[in-house]
Amino acid sequence: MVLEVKIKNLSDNFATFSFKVSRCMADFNGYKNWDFLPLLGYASKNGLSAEKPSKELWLAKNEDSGWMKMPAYGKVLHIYNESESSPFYEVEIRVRNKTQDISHLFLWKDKPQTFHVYLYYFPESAKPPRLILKTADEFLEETIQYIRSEMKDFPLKKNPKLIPFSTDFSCKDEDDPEWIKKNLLLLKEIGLNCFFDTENSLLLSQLVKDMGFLYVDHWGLSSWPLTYDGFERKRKEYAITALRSLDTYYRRINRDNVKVLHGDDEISSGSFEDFILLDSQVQPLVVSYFRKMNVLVSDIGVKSYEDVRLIPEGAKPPYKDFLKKENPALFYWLNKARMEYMTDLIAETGKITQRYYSDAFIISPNWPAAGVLGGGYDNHGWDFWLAYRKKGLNGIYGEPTPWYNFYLQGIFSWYADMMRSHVKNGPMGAYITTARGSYPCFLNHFQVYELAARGMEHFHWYSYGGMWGNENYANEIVRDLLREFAIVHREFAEAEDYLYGSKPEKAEVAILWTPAQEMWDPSLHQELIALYLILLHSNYNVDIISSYDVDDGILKNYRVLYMPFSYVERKTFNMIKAWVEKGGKLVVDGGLLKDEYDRGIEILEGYRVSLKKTSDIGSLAHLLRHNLIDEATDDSSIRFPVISQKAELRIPSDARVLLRYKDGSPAAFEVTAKKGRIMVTGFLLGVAYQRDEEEKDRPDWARLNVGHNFSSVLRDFATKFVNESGIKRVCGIEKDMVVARKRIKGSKQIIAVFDYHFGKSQEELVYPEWEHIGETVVKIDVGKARSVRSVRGNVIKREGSDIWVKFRGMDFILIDR
Amino acid sequence: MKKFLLTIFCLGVICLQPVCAEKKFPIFFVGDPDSIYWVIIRDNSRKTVKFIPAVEQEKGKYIVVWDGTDYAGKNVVSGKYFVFISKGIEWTLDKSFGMNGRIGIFFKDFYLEAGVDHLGIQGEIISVSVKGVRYENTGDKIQGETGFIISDGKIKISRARISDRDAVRVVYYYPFFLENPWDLAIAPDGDIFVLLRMLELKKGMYPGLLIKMKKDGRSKDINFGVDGEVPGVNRAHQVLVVPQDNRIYIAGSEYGTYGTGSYKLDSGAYWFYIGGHKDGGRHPATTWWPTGICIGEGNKIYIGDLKIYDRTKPMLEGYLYSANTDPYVIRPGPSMEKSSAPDCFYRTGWNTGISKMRDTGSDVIEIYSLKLPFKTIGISCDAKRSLIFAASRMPEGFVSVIYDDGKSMREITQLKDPELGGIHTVRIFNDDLYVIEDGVSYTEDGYCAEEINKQPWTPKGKNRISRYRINFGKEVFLQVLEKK
Repeated sequence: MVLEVKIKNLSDNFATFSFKVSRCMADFNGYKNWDFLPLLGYASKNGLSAEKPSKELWLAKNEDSGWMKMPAYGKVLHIYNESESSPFYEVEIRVRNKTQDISHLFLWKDKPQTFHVYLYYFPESAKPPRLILKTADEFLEETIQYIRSEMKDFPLKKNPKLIPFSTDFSCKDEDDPEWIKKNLLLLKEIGLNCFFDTENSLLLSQLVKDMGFLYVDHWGLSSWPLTYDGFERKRKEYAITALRSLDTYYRRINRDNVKVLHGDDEISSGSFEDFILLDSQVQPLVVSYFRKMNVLVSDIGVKSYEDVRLIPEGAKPPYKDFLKKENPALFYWLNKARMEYMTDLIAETGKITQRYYSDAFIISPNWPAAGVLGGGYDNHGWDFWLAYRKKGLNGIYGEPTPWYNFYLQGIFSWYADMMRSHVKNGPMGAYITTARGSYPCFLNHFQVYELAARGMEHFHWYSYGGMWGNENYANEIVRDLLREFAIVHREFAEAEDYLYGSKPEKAEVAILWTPAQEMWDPSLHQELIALYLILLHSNYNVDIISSYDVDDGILKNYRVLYMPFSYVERKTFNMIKAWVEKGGKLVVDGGLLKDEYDRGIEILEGYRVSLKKTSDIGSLAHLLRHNLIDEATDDSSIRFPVISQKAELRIPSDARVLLRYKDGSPAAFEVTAKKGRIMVTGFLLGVAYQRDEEEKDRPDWARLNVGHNFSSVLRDFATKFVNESGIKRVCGIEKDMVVARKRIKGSKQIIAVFDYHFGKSQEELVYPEWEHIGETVVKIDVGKARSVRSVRGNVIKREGSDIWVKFRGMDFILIDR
Repeated sequence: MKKFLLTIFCLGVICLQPVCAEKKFPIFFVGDPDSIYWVIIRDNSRKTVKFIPAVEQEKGKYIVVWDGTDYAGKNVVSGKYFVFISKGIEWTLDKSFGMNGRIGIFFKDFYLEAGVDHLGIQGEIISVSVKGVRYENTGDKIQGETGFIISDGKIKISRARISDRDAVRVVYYYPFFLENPWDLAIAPDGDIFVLLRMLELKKGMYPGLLIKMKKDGRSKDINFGVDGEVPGVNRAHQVLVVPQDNRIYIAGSEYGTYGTGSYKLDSGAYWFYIGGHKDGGRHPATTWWPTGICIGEGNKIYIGDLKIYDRTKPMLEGYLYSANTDPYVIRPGPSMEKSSAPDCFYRTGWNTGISKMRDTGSDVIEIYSLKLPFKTIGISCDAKRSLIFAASRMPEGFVSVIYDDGKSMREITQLKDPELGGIHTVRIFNDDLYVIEDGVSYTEDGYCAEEINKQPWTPKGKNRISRYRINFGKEVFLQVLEKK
């Protein structure tokens, strides 16, 4: 791109100017600069000069600089008036690239000492920028008009009132109030009803109030840095921070409508190894916890608690590996002690914040979704259930990140169900990241539907460049994305009476995840997700539960339980066994179980297993990189690729072999255990299902074309017990990869329906942009209903309790009974 | 208080008659020679209109001339006024407060009995001395290999190191940490807000701490702030409790800006700061070294050197005007105090005495002052008597009692207690006088050690707060005045 500027002095005084360009939205407002962007030079009679010219070279009245060529590596050109008189100048700018060549003449009169011109913008997501020459005001005004005109004929007119949609916007007190107002006006035009008031500007806070945003979010307390100074000391530290920050004059403006108090940006704790390295510093904390929990000294190999040493004699780093091998019980309990302390601190920040905001909807640190998903917190030993469920945090806020390549097969559903499991259907909210370049229009739209279907009732459009831009992403407002948000808001306004305060339809299938697994091998997170996706694609209601839930007696609510891992607390497994004997159906995915002390668990009498692990799963998007270890198959079409790990099984005499490895040895079997049944697979069901799909579709992740040719045969095998238990698919939908979730609120019901084929045939790759999304027609059993309507599509037929709905991508069906 | 014989010296002076051309009311009486007498003018409802110290004209013959005005200088309405006389002013240590009237640094000597292996101390231990060696408490331990361990408020003693014959001296704060008390304010219910100006950065916080304690001086109000404390109030100077605002104001509490912090009275929560630096101090509203603060009429607050702000607005938003017409007022005063007259207040200069200032609405001017023969920082005004109690920071501390007649100030007497060292400030509340001896205190000439982190001397000072009961003599009815 080429940038040329010519500037003419119309004032009576001599004048000179300097120039900069900047990259992002934060400075696009025209009142901020980025220091790191170098000066491009000064205007003089001789054109552009590197140094400030001497006065005789300044421009006299009616004199111009001639065309000055400048590097155009930014999107906003800033022209600084370097003379003392008020601006009265003519600024002519030319920009051109391979496809465009435009110029514009601006009059700069009586404006602030700096003049800003917008050089390019992104009209559409994932498309090249378009050159433009507008002032910031002009560009913003144009965007407001664009949203207005786009929404003028949109059939849905209301904006949401019950479900908050928020965003944030940064400015300073000295910024022009008119400019701030105009930005807020754009947000209102889009339909946002909530604002994350980070209190960086009193002016902004006041304008947010004046402009009638219904809700506000604030910062809560952060537990960071998590140090081991002792709970009392940290409690006091948090309380002091709260005293200085949570009830201030600056907060008073919008504090009455606060919905969400955001705690830590993301929970993180440092590594377990770092904890061990603190040794004697944390020993009292450990001993105190051991005493409280009555840990058997014989288990941890000491005579008394005081003898506990985090770094045992003779140990070499990494100490956690030493402990794992030499004293697994101590490894487990040290992890527990650490988690207890950490979660106490997190919970304390919530409790203190709650004292100041007793009516807030959510008071929570940001759930480390990315860490849980990607294993980013591996070996940190984080026990999220303990923090959120057992220690009374009010609600949960998460950040499902969009750049995982497999998002359009239900990953946001997993996020939401995982978060839901932590707060037991309590209040939930999520940042919706809006990265330009990741097909945000369809993605974000689909995402909020997936999250809302699982009970999310607060959304924050968080910008990685798509909405406002920031210093990490040299992007800009993407107009089609703003339009998409406007549509989302209007659709949610239609649905919110049904969504807000609704409860999910009961699930009879559960997937278990354990703190012990988290400690010993968090890499199996990926199998948890992959197995979840099997159940999702099969359209069964499913809950994710934890060992704590089992210990609390929750299993009586379920008929089928999946254990996609190796490690389970012995006490918890004993309860599972008892549940099986009373009629429960258990699937042991992977074939091997160990207890919290790394000791083998005898799943069944006469069953023996030896496990060979070749590699951790890694990212689900790259399973093709794994070597195929084996195949698990039957005599028909079932063929599970075995990757990452393989268990050789010696099965009980009364077991029935379901699948065999290539060499004919058992790969999966089932057995009756009193009134219940147990199915054991020697391989990982979930990753095999994913690998099978990748093998078929060979998706090109770099191009984001998402393959969706998942095998219903493999799904059917994996959900054998569910089927046999007579558990119905949600709303009776049998169509391949069409999934629904029903939520109930008195006489109102809402069904969120999704087509994970996106209206395409099974073999087709999916490009996640609206123009590639086809129409789906599906039969849905809505039960008895007085009235039924679709928010995004059409109810094309109704017969008894069945309706046929035509929609693109996803839809809300609103039912009055 | 000794009984005294009162003789009506001249009944003829009950003169509301035209003979009092200037409408002044001279009141004469005879009393004990060389004594302090107070004349109290009360209205029909017995409310005090004015409290005036009598002048001994001749040995045992006293006179007070009432000009028919109240403290604000306004003529009182016509009617009957009742004249009472009271003799003297005394103070007695209020032993119901703290430990026998005081809180702060104490010491206790022990001789250990056989088998005793711990000492119980109520408060925070500063040091333990044995065999002439003093060991400082550094958190949960006593420095060095001493044979002492402090835990849960007890000193555990290794009897292998300390014998029965060894005297052990424990120096401690009672009833809790109270290092370098600097000022205090009283809530309407009598609870006490103590401002500490610690000698160094403690517990990761700026060295200033506001503590709310119960009026008995024995415990904190743990429902206030964090466990009864608001930490991190920088090196603050003066604290004000303003119930009608539901606020506490602390001069200079904001680190980095020297702003005057505003905090919620009920919770201690930070609200905002007033004034502070702006534009490197070039801004006219900048408050440099806001050592003293004082509430004015309406929403006004007077800060330091001397800026007038609307205290309901943050930072510079409430700036109204500066006092800059009198060169005297540009010298910051370490203490300010509201006077009986609503548009006036007192301020002390650095070792220069007390000035009475008047707010004209666009400026603040000094209307008169009193040079004091001693160094003072803190003053406290008993508005219903127009008395000012001024702390002496000289080595042998005392409290000067000063009367302001609306035209000038004069010292009436000095309250002394040989137990007292240099006094930093005083606070009067319902005839209770709180006396604060700071921890850094004085050099021999009473110099105020402000640069506490850089002091070349060992901090002195008794580091205590004491409560004295101020007693005036029993009031005796003298006569009725009728103002027409």
